[in-house]
Amino acid sequence: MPPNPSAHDDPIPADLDGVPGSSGLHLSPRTSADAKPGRQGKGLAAIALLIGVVFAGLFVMRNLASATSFYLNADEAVARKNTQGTARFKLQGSVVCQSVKPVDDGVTFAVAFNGATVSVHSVGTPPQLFQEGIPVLLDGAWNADGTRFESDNMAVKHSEEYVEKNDDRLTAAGSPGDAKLKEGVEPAELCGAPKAEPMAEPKAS
Amino acid sequence: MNSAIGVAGIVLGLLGSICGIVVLAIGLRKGNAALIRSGRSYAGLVLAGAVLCVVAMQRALLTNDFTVSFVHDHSATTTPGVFKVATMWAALEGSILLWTLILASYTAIVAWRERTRTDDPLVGWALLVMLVVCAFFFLLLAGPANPFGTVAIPEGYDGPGPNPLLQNHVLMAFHPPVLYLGYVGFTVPFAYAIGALITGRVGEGWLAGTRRWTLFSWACLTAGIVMGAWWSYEVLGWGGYWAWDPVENASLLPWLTGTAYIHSVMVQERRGMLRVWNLSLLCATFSLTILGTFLTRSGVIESVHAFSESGIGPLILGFFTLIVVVSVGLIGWRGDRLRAPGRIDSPLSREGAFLANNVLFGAFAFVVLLGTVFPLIVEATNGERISVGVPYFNRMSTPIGLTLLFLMAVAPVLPWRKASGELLRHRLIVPAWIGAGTLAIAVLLGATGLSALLAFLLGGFAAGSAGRQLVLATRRQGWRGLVGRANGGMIVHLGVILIAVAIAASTAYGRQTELKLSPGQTAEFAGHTIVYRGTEQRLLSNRDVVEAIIEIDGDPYAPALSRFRFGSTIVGTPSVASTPRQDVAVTLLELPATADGVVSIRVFVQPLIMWLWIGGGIMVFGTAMAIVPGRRRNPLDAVSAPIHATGDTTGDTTGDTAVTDSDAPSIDKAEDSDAGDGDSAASGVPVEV
Repeated sequence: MPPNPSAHDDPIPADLDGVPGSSGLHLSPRTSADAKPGRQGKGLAAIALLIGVVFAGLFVMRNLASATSFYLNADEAVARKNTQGTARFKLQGSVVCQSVKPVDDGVTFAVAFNGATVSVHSVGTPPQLFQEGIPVLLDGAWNADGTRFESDNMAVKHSEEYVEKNDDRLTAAGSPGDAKLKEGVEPAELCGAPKAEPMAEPKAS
Repeated sequence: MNSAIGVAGIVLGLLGSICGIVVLAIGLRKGNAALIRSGRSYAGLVLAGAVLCVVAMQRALLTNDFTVSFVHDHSATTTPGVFKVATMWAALEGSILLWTLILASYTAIVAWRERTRTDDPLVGWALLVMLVVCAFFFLLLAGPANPFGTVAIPEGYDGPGPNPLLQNHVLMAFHPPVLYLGYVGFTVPFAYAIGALITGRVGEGWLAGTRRWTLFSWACLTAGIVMGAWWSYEVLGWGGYWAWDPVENASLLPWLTGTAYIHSVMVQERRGMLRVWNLSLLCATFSLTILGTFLTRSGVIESVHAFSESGIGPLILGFFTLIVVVSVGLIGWRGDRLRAPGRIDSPLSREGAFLANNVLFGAFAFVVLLGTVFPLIVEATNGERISVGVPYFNRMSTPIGLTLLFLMAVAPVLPWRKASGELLRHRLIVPAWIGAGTLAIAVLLGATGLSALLAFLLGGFAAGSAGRQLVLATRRQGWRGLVGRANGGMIVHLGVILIAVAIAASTAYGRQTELKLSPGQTAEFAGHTIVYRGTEQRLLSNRDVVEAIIEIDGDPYAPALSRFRFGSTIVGTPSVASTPRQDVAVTLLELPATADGVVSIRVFVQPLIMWLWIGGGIMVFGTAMAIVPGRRRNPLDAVSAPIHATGDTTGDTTGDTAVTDSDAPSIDKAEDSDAGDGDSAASGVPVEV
């Protein structure tokens, strides 16, 4: 809608004395509420506002701190095991070849990064792309004796474009033997498995 | 050929933008009306350039011209037709191209609609600002986001096709363009705001002129966000619709500040107050669209939506910085003209409620922004990589959302200036009973949980308040009681309430389980009987699909896994059945190794999901109603006379009907009164003259 030039385009529409920039003469009727609050009232309001802002800030920071988790590569997770304790964090690494074993409630395997290896117990059905050699991101924490990472959520990082263009991130040092995944290379191939065939309907046993 | 046409389009658009900027700048500097007028024609050149680029790109995509770098990298001969068109916005360079086309279109439409005012400096500056933004996006296309590079291809080459997730649902064809219509649309009011600040015409005229642009952009942004949530729900298969993903947050942020703006702008139009605040909100909204572009396309964040790392990040960050510096500088420079002529008389007033609304939306935007960029801040500060989890966003947004629901119930019945307790009691008694009734019904149906129960109570309360306003308006004016800003706004409120209640119910009472079933095996979950029948395979042009045949309460479901021809990516497709009461969704987790082996599925049962999409539709419909002009007062009538009524004007004696708009500086004020927003004359409070 084209703006209509009107009196309200005037620089100082509310000041009716026509002097730009001046505070002017206010002709609006004023109610008793227009009486300006005293200095003391303003001071109290400012203090109340300040206290409110401080409390709100503390509330935000407390929630932020409690919902924040670190991304740690397998080598960092091992190095920080003592300080990390059983606090939750996100573990990154690549699934070690021939380490995957299905268990009743999920799967166990090991992930490696920069030469360090971590044993993992992941609850639930892994994502369809989960396979040996693939980089994974696991939510969880060290168990009580620090021997195994207990995970309740797993994400698989895999797309050709991601690997090719972000090779300084997760995939960089996460492959078995610290090899980088290249475009067109299947993660499982790094573990000696043949290149994946097109998905097929399950055959009769 | 296509590359050459595309590059020609980029050059045309870039030169058109730069020439238009120069001509307008000289014209405005020298006060040369002819030059300012001629600046308008450059908007046509810019649009022609953008259209040429898009035509070349679509032609390249549809004809499989793999010599064009973008097509080479992101398309395939096997990509189905509709997704071939949509491939343009499935990757970085093409999405910048779509953005540029929409921006150029907005610029050309503004230039055309303002053809009678092109010698007006404010319009000239607004056009100049839009051309600057156009030039920036054409520069991106000419440089780091050029989709028209040429590639030598071997014979028989076929591309990889777009990201599999993005060719798995038809919403991909609509969600990004609609979202971009919203994002880019905020350029128009922003440009006028900058024009108003530069010319010093910071009154209410430019607000009225950009009102419909703002509402249209807001409606598109709303529709785009809801479509994105729907796409996520239908495609990603995790049973949710909002994950507080950084890219989702990037779209929510401008929506929050834009929503605050379309509320608080009414205070300025009505009483001339909150000028600095409104300008800041508008500049913040536009800045946040650019920040969202940075977050999405720079590669600084990892997200299911984010494009790969690219070289455009520093450029967008620089442009974002420029916008913030210019906006803040201009607002500071015009500070003397932005002083409010009055102040809020009482917190218990319409303007007090709008102020509270703004504080809440501002706080909401702040906590979402903080949670989104906090990992970047930490990594930049000490090199640690962290993530901020969903619990932070949920814990922060729940109290803010509930308070907004409460405000949504109270604010519409408040008069301007000041409300008495008696007036409030009278107007809120019915909505309060509706809220209480909603709560009672929810409890009888077995609802538990403080947050959910509060959402039902306040949702009913707010719905009663909005419904009351609409009933009063339609009693007076018939169907016209549904149009105009205030009445359309009440319809939007109803949509928001539906969404809030649906979110509360699906979050609090959603259930999921993981099942492993052999063929013919039955399981019970959440009162449903689930039977696995077997698998079926389908070979499509671009993928192999294996579906698990599941029956739930006798109804067939077919969750699938698809393997696309290129690469090894396997994408799951949930099977969802929606009813007004609940959704049942099934995701295929793992195929059986043999035909009689065990299949692994996840089943989600979530109540009221369908109302999320219906609520989104109602919000867009309500905004459309708000854009339609409401009944206008005959300028010859006394201001205290009621708007010419077609219905009962005497049903409410508390000031809801005969509304005065004596302080209304434009026709929009008359629209405000349509819902009977209980104004001052009837409630005994003096008005400004």
